[in-house]
Amino acid sequence: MPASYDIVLAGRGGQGVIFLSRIIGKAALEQGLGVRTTETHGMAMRGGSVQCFVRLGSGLGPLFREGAASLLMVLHPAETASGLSFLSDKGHVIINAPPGFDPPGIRGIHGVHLVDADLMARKAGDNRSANLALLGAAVSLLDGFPLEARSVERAISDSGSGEAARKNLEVFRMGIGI
Amino acid sequence: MSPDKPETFPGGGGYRLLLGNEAIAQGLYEAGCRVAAAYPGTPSTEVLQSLVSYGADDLHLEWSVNEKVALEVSAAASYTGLRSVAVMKQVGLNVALDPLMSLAYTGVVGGMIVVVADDPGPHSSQTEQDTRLLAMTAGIPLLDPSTPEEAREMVHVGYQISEKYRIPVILRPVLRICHARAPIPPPTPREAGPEPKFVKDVNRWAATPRHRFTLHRELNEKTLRMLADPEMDKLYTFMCGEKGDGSFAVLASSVVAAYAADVLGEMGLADEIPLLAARFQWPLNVELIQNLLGKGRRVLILEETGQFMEILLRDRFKVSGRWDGLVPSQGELTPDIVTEALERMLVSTGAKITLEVPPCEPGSPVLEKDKGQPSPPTLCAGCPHRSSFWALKKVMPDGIYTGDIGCYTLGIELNAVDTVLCMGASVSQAAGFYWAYRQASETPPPIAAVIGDSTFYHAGIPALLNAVQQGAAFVLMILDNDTTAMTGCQPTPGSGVLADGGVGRKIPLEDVVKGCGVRDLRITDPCDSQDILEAVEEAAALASEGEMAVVISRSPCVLNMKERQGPVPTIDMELCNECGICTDSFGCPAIRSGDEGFMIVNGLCPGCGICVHVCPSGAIKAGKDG
Ligand code: SF4
Ligand code: SF4
Repeated sequence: MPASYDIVLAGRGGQGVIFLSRIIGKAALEQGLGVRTTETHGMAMRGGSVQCFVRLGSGLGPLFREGAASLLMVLHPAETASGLSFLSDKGHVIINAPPGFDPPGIRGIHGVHLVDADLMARKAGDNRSANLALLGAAVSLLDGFPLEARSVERAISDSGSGEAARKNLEVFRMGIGI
Repeated sequence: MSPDKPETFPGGGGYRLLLGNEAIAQGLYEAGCRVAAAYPGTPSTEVLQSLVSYGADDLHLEWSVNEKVALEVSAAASYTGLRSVAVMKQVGLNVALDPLMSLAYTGVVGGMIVVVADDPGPHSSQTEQDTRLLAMTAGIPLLDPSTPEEAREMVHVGYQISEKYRIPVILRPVLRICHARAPIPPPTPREAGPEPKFVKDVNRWAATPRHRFTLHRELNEKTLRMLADPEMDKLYTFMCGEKGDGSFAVLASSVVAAYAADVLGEMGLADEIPLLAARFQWPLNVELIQNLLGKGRRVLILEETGQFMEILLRDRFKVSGRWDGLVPSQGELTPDIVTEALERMLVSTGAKITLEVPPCEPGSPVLEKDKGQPSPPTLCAGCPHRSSFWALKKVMPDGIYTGDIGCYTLGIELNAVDTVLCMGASVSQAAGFYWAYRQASETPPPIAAVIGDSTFYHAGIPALLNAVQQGAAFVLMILDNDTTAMTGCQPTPGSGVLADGGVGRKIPLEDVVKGCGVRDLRITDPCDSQDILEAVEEAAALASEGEMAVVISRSPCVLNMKERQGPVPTIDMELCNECGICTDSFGCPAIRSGDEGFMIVNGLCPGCGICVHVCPSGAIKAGKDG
């Protein structure tokens, strides 16, 4: 059976973690890939931890096993640890953090990428679009990442009104450009 | 029904990535549901919300005042031959259990579905109760989908069963169905239904106990007929390993069946171990299951949240599951737990299977079990509730605070909530505390009940009426933010807005409170710290004199504010003595402490300005406009 490409997204309520999972899901649909997502949060709107799980390819259930994920995207550095146990030993981590930042407990993980997504979002004038810089980085940095830039862009354009979608696209492209 | 593996979609093909709840709404729309009533509650809320988006004009939609009312509204619609639905979360069914038990006897005419969302974990509920046990108690058939796709299809199946047997049907999505997204094909055209026509039949619709006996017999016969119905057999299918002759078989339901299929596939056991998904949980066709799985074979039961199939099968099979400790008795069954149960089952049955794929290894062994503390939720920055709690604690520092269900349960973090039992209990428990001390001829301590507007309408009204009538005296603070904030801001009876956004009659809280016999009522603005302090002081004084005193603390939820509340205050570090009151006991998340002392984070603070009055050193200064 074809293996699935599993992704964990970790962040805090209000950072658009769930929005990011929807963009990924839509882009996957666009490419004809199977997709399931789910999220775990206490009361996400109120600033608590949020984790999203995304399975691309095969899979009937929306959750997967620890050690299965090919990619962990961290929107809030303090949430790194919450997602690490799901990462496979060949997996990659993309963290929203300035260069030189030393995220706690990350040593020994082989593919760690720091992306200053908050800075990119600020440049575009929309703090909440940092999530898309991480996705842009995933598209450009990772071999075997199943999503193409074109389908992500279509998904972004489909999910939001003119101005917001334009800023989201801008930040996504900054993420690709790193 | 077979689980279709959504491997490929031709360029999306009109498929939409929908939540299980949205998939259910799509099914309801397609099936021609004409009356839909719900009370919001995680994880069920999005069903009605999404149904609104179809804009069907032959559909009455309502956020009912509570689940019991929702179920009764929907039942009467079904009496007239229409298809209807009531939607609630699992603890909501407790509130609606009274009409449900009786409705099992009377039966229905048009198809009626009760969507009850279970919350294994629990993620957002007081209990992990398993709705299947209540369905069995009531004698109501229950469908248990294992994917969002199935949840949608089961709406159609459910209506067919309901109409064929004239009985309401429970559709029970668990949280990982409700809140999982999956590709759902485009909606099919909406089915046309009959015109409403109520045919009188007092021996059924108003049956007295003598006729209830007959109706009970009828219900029992329906159960037996359903078990003999070959249509229902289609709801029991193998998800893998149908021909497998492994040492044991797996019987699963809900999302756990999907996990089991995934994990068996990942372990390379999909051909050896038969996995039977039982989507029709009550009445459970035990004979059929036994035949399908083969007598004498050991069976691992994977089900959420309680023991159900395990109890029904236990004496007939060599069953493993919760009773022999292979499966934990509380919490969500994750793919990891499913894996562990399967591995232990392999060992205990002495299976001669070498795993093609070894179990996954987490990336960092150092971190293996250290997942960090999840950051706890807090009231939003600028939430008016924070100021209400602050005033209560200031005026009644030694009070007993009875709390309730809503965002303001988070008052726990501010030490301003001592008890939370269930919807509406803040009011009745405050009365209970009062009487406990009073009967001992003691002066009751200061008691304050805190309840939100939506919860007050839901279950607080009879409690208040009762407390007043009995002569209990305490402070009742109703936090009126004009919305059901916790579940994403649904309207309340006080907001005068209907589920579809239309205008409804507004029923102000103060009218209801007065109608409950309360003589002393004040309305205050929690964003005016002086005003709310005075209001609470007066109320506390009256309560100590033996009068029920109600404070309505009225200010909109920040989620509904279109504009900023005001300018961002600043902290004067010359005056700040780092006592931490603003961050800890007041707990505004926009105030941070760090190496450079205390500061207010611009982007987080909507400028409610309350902290200016909270700081005992006067270090927080009101911001300047512009
Ligand atoms: S959602 Fe509204 S009521 Fe809930 S914590 Fe935030 S501001 Fe307060
Ligand atoms: S004004 Fe003060 S209390 Fe209000 S949100 Fe801003 S920091 Fe928090």
